[in-house]
Amino acid sequence: MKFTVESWAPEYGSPSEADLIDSSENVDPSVELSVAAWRPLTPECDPAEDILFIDGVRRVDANLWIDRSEQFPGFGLAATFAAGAVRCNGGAKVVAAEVRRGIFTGVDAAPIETSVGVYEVMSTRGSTPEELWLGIQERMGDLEGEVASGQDEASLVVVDGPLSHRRHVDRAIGYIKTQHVQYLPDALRASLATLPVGARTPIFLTTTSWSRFSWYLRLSNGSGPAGGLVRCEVKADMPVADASRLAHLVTASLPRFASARHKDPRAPQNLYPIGGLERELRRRLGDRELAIRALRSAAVL
Amino acid sequence: MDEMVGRVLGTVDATPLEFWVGVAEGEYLELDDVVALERVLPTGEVVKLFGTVSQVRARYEGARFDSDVFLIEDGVLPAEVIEAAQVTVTRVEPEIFVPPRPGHPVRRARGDERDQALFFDRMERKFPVGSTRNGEPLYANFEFLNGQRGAHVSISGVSGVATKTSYATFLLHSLFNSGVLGAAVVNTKALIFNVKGEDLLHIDRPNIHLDDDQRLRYAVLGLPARPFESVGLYAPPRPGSQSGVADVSSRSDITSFFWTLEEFCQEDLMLFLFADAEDERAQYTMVVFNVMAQLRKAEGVDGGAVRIEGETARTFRDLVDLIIGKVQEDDSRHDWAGPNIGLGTVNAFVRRLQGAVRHVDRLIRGDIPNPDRHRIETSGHQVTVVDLHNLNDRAKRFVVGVTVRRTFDEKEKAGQSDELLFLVLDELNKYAPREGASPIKEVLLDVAERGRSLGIILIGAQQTASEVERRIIANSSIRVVGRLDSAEAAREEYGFLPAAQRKRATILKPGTMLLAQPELPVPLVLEFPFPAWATRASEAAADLAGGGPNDPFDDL
Repeated sequence: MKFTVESWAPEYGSPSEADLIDSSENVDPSVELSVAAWRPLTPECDPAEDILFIDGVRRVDANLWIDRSEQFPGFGLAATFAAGAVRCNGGAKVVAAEVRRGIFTGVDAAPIETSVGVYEVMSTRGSTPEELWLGIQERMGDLEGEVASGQDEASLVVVDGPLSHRRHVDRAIGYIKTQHVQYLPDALRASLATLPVGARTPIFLTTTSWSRFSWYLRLSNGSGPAGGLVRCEVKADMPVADASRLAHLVTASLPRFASARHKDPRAPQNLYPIGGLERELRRRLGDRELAIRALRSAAVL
Repeated sequence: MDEMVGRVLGTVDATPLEFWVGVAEGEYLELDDVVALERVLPTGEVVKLFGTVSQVRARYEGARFDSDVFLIEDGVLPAEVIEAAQVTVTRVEPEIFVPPRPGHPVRRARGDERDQALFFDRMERKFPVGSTRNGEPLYANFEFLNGQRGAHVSISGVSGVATKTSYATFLLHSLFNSGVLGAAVVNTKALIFNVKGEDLLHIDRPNIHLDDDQRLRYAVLGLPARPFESVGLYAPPRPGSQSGVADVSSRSDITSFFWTLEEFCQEDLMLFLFADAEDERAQYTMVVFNVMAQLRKAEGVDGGAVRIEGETARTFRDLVDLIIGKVQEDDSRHDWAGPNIGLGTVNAFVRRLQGAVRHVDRLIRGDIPNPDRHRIETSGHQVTVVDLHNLNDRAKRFVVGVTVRRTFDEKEKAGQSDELLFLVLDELNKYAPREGASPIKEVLLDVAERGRSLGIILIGAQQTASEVERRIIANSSIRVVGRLDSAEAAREEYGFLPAAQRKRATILKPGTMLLAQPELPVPLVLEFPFPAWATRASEAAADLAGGGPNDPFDDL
């Protein structure tokens, strides 16, 4: 039997799922090159010298039961989340880090003051776990947008994760480490396996809930089907030529930041600046035990 | 809080005796910096903590692997540099031993606060012992030197780079000129044994290499930049010289010293001829004591010669021949060597005595008129230098043993402890080794243990304190360390040095010393100025009468 060991640590899952959801019918792969002319593209430009990486982290501190008169208590999550930015222009520096605390719930609630800070009410559509998670995700996305817009302009803004919740960050590149969906028709998908390091696929247009230009890019050689492969996306509100230029710039710039296997459990897809930023943000979330204790004592009062 | 340099760290335990400070952006702390902070207790009482920086470190925060440094420098991985300083607390005022709280601002201590941190404000009688790297004076408490609360100085360090002798003479200069002795300065004396070259035979002459910067350093310490003013110089007579002229090549106005045969016989000086460690274990020690008892009966003749049982000895060789005859002849052996002493033992004694003749015959003699003029006297000058450098080890031991014994006896007789005598002796490990016993070690132990009450203060120096008699080191209140060998620095004798200073002792440059004194829990790191006196002939300004080189025809 011949097999490959996935480079990601198992607790992080796998960068590529065994069964991808086929979404190729919503994809137009011929916006940059015709399907017949599809081939790996190597960038024709110098790497960007001033890159802003944006990322966020979140943590559920506690599950809450919110008392309601004459009703079964409502469910909510007390969560802490943060967003920050790293600017890489010669040196890498964390230039922003914002922390927020919130109560995510679909029921009526009031802010909770604790010794670690105030948990503001952040209402969600419902109180199912998915809705609550989505709420946290959205708020974090908002905060990421806020952090990004507070920064001086950079030649490239890379947001960790899909753009879906951060679409308001102007000209931002969504950087997607994991592949759950099959966007390319089978005929083109095979070309991913042979994509050389430092090259990208032509741009394809996806029109699901919103329109975006995407391309795949190989950061480095990795093991497994996704081996060092990532997908990038930008909003499809620009001419294809602009998107193409941006895609080249990204392809020229990012491989340098790919992490080494022994340094990151999600190597090489988790880029060094993002890994560093995540660690810094998690540190800023504060100690979870302390947060739980603060919430418990606030509940007793 | 105008000069905050950092804040107390909370990631490392802060204790009342030691804590770490995160150094603020744009600031720095270096080793030996003096810092202060205040803590307000819940009672409203304010506790001031003072300390010195004993270690500083810098690291990347955000780096997890050693190789991250390359990523960080390439601008790929975000990380911050943080410097932190370890502070060893020197003083807590009032003495409420609470830790500083993480986050407390820490400031540099300057002026009065620095003096407080280093206890200088509490020293009623202090004298300058050097300066910090940036020129601030450092002091020691005289009460721990003059015998009041402690006495003696021990200086350790590698030969050549540790500048032990220079520092010892600087200390003397400071003691004599800083005013700490008050009126007693007139009667305070120093006796220095010169063991290396003719280095100390020029301390009464200005150093031509002393520049204005160095003069300024003396001024900062409140000391005059001038040589020793009242100096008596003694050197052994030149071998074979009939007139007893001093065996020194670089100057001619030096008094030669020796002992008369009469003194040798009547004051039991033979004891110090048999002062090697091997002598102590040997059988023939019995013979030595018996011979000494016989020699005490010798009559003095003119000029220091002796007559024993009708025979006259004028030179040391005469005397030795006489003694050998007495112990070997059957008639007199019983009295001179002692009863029941075997011939083997007598011969061992004879061999040993014969072996000494060549080395000491110029030091013990009765052939020079007016021998009183060649007696080492400490009373005539403030500083007396006795040159040993071209004597062999056995002769060195003899001179040191006899001179210190005599000085000690005189002090004991006078019984005035307020008139101090500083005794500067290098190569202490030769005279008071850790192992074995010898008459010289006994004398030096006497000085170390009783000298304090008699006003004899030992300024001892040695390459390795670990090889010197423990009780002598233990009795030294002030301990000074210059450059140390790294194996030596690890020994327990240097337990008074904190770990970082032990390491540092191995890289100290000439002119930098660590000085520990009882009041301060941390040794001071100090620099002392270049000697204002010549430390070799080439540094001496040729302005003194009779200071020229020796006349080679002097003896003819």
